[in-house]
Amino acid sequence: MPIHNQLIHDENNNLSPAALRVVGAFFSIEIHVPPQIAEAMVASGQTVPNCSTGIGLIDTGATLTCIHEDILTGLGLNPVDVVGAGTANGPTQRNVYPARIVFPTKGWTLDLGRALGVNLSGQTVPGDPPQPIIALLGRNLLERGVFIYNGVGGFWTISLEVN
Amino acid sequence: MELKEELEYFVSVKEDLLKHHRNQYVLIKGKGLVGTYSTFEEAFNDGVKQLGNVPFLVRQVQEKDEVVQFPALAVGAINAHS
Repeated sequence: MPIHNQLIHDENNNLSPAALRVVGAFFSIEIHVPPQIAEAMVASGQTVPNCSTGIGLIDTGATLTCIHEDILTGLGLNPVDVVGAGTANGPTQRNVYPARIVFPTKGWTLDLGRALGVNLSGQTVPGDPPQPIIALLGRNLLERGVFIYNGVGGFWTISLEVN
Repeated sequence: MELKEELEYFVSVKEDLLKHHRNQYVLIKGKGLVGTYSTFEEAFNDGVKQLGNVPFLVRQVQEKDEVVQFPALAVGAINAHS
């Protein structure tokens, strides 16, 4: 499995546990139409929509990976299930979609059969400029590899079984 | 809610599915069972092949439905569409 190490530095180029605490463990990602769906779109004369780009924040608390639902519907994807999810306003029913996640800086591609559609509007990773979070990378992604968060050292490591 | 018809059908035949297809994945479109499969991927791929890019239900046949936890959603740090 390929490995990615992410060192978080401060302005003096020292490893920074404090900076890691602020930004968390995140990746630049692209959300694509899964290849099976893309094939069906082409077969029916549709144009396959371009991918959406943004930040995927690793969230070990999330059972399923969550993706901004407007992106999923904008890609022309349809739900394959509906599940109950707890929210601040009580339980709600959420759509589950298939999706392909690409990690362009690593050349990794990962197909998820089940990703939850949620509203991530206004969620950003601190920076200059802040970058939009388009996905919370949950445990159905992490179950494909090893994730190590070194809060004392100011770095994290991930290794994933990708396509 | 999407897949309303499919979910109603799943609930209506769940007892029978548990007897004959426990832990397998079912593919349901409308009020019809399209097939049963060993994996999610098999069910999804067959759904796209047979039905195209349309909403359809793929669910594992289990006594209890899958429980999903999202602390960021639960505490309101992230919003869910209502």
